[in-house]
Parts: sequence; C-alpha cells; structure tokens
Amino acid sequence: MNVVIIGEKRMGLDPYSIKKDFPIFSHTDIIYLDNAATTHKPRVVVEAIKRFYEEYNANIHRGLHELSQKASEAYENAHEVLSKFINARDWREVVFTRNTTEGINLVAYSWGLRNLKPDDEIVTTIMDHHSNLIPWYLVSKNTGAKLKLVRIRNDGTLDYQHFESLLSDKTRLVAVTMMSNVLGTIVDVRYLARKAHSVDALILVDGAQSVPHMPVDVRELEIDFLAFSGHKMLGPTGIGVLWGRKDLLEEMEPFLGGGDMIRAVHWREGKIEAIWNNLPWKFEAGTPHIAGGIGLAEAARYLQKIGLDEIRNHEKKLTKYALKRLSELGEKIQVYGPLDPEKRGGIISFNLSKLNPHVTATLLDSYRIAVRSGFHCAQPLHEYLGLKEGSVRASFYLYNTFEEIDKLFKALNEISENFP
Amino acid sequence: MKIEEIKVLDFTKRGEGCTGHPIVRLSKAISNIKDPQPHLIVIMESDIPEKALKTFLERKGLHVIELRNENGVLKALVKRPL
Repeated sequence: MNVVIIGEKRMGLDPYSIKKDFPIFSHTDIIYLDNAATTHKPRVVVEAIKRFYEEYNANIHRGLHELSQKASEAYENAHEVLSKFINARDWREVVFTRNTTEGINLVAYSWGLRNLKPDDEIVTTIMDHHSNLIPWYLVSKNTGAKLKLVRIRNDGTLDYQHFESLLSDKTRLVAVTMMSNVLGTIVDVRYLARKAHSVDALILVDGAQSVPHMPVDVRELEIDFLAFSGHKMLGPTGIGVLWGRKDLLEEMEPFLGGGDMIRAVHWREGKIEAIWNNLPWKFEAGTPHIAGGIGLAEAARYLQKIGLDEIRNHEKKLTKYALKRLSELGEKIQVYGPLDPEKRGGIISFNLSKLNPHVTATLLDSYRIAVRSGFHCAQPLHEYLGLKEGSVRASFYLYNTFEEIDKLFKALNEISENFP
Repeated sequence: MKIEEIKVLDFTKRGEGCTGHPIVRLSKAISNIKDPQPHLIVIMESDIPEKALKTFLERKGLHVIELRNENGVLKALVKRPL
C-alpha cells in the first residue's frame, strides 16, 4: 500500500513504501534529487519491458503470426493507456515519439513549416526549455515568421500582461511550458489557451515537467498540442508522446517517411503516389520503440494507481518544506522562482553565494546527493536572470522524503561554511 | 630510477554552455584517468576554490600528491592509487 490511510483520513502517499517499488534504491544510497532530468523506474516497468523481450518480442503490424499480433495489441493498448492518462478524446490522437523534443519538432516541421508565413508570429516564453525555443527559432528562420518571448515577473511567475500585449491577429501559435524546468513555475495554460484561441492561434504545451507530476487533462486545458517524455514519468528513455487534436493531426503532413506511416505506395507514370496511414501511425514511421511504449504504459498505470493528485500534494509538501529549510541559510543562498508552493512544482533552483553551481553540485555529490547544475537547457532564462554560470537544481518526485531534504539542507549548510 | 611522465590536464580556458565549464570537463577527464601515471591538473581558483578542488579530487578516488596555488592558478599533482 503506497498511500497511507488512517481511519477515514488519507494521509498522503508514503515515499518509504514507494521506494521499495524501485529496484535502484536497493543498489544505491544516493539521494536522488535530479528528477527533472530523468526519473527512476519501478519494478513493474522494468518487468513489463523484460516480459516483452522474453515472451512476445516481435515487430508490430502486418505480421500474421501470434507474436506479432500480441506485440501489436500491447503497443496499441499503450496508446490507449496514455490517451486516458491525459484524458484525450481518442487514442488515435496519441503519437509516440522519442521524447518531448521530438514531439515539438514534429509540430514545428509538420505544421509550422507548412502553415507559417512571413509576418506571422509565434509566441513562446523566456522560461521555456531549448526544446520549445529552438524548433520555433528554426521554423521562424525558414518561414520568416517572427518569434516573440513572454517575460517573467520578479516573483518568477509568467507575466500574463506581457503575454497579452504580444498577442495579436498575427499570432499563429503559442508554444509554452506548463511547468518551468528551472523555476518550477506552473503556467495557467487554460488561460493562455483561451487567449490564444481568441486570436485564432493554436497552443502547444510542453508538458515534460507537468504531465509526470500533476493531473493534466487536455480537454480541460482546452489546448491543441501537448508533448511529454516517458523517462521523466518513470518510463523508459527513448519514448514520448505528442498528443494533438485529431482534426489538426489529420490535416498535417507526416514528419518522417518510411514504413508503417504509409498505407500504399504506387509508382505510376514515373511518379511516386503515396497514401498516408491512419492516425497515429501516419506520424510513427519505421519500427517504433515497442518495448518503450509498453514500458511507458506500465509507468502511466503505476502513476494512476498512486494518483496524480496524491503525487502533486506530496511534492507540494516537499517543496514547501524545502523552501522553508533553504531559507534558513539566509544570505548564503539565492533561491529562484515563486515562493508559493501552489504556484510551482517540485523543482527548486538555487545558488550558494560565491560558489559556482558546478562546484556546489560536485560537492553535493560527495555527500551522495544527486542534483544538476548549469543552464538546464534554459540558457536564455539564466541570462535574463543574470546567472552567467547557471544554477543548481534539486527536483523531487514521489519517492523523495522530508528526511532527504534535511540532508540536502545539512550538506548545503556545511558547504557554505567550509567553502565560502 | 624510473622517471614517470606527468600528463598535464589544463582547464584554465572556458568553453561555452553547460558542458564547457572547467568543472564539467575536469569531472569527465578524471573518470578517464585509469592508470597510476601522475597527472597535473591546472585550473583557475575562480572556477573552483582550492579546498573544494582537493575534496573533489579525493572524492573521485585520486591521491593528491601536491596542490599549489600560483596567483589564482591551482596546480594539483594527482595519481590514481594502484
């Protein structure tokens, strides 16, 4: 039982019990606070992948033999599981990609290159990951469309007024993160979606940091595209999801050409004639990451069993506690992002005064605490904040404990005293 | 008497981006030191304090034979124990 219930009152999830589901914690005593980079895998995910390779490994679709049919069924079911995970209307709206980056690039190339023209505008934000900046930068270079960036306020929240001032009838797309991978800032995506739609623009959401940590409902958010990664939500690497509104995906041309994305190819009068496959296969060219899809579905089931609300609540408590403890370091530390845990996820970036973030991370490693240092693929944000060397980032997940935060605090306190 | 060749690893020049920082490059270089040949690590004190460098090198399993600070340039003679 991973959720502690005393009498009728739910006490929240029990990270100590959850840790037992993750084989890696029996092999290492490292305090893992690098979950925004990637997460550990529960036994059920590892076993699902192992079972696929050991019991029914085969290529999907077109195979008439039993193994292929079983593999196809599991892979298709995985789309269904992920579709339910984000409350999509139809499982065919779920395209498996390699990761968030590929999902965003798919939209940039398939939709952006075809639909954007000079003088059109794409609005994104200063706190977006390079994955949601560079594809649009490349598309804008190729189409002549302009790229505009929304600022953040002093408290690390998005400047919604600035967003509205950038929005116009020239705006064709709003591409925005739902949770900053540096500041942890949660963005009111539904508000942005309504505003974007009011000027007939589409909205693409980078859900890499939000989908694994809180309930995300694509219908409730009223968005058009959502991209996220499997490995940040307990699934394997090399598998991710692009969800898109069916009517949009149907209009879009394929991103990659090859096997499985095609229904028929003819050579007629010296020309190739191709008919694309149905959704989602039109966007899944070549043999996909079958084991990855199956593993990701298992991860989604595991998260659903615990409950995304429970996970969000647990991380909110951890974040609140961590912010309180870190504030005890006073002037020895600078913490970035909103101070209200309601406005942020379980990602806390900081710097110890006068100490390079890489040095801090290196020293934390000697305390067996794993964090990340640098720009976290959000260099424009760091430059905007005046952080030339980057920052240190501690990021939490369902298996992290208050005790681990105490150890982080103790280590940071010692580092700041010993290495001033 | 056998004279050991000292290999110099110079991190005084900075690269761009996350992976260009001397600490990141030093960390990668250290994991490539497999044999007990002595290495001289040269790095700016402004990139890592002297004490932090010593802790870091020892944590990575290296024996610090000598650590000198020459006007803000740290020179650490290290060796991987047999």
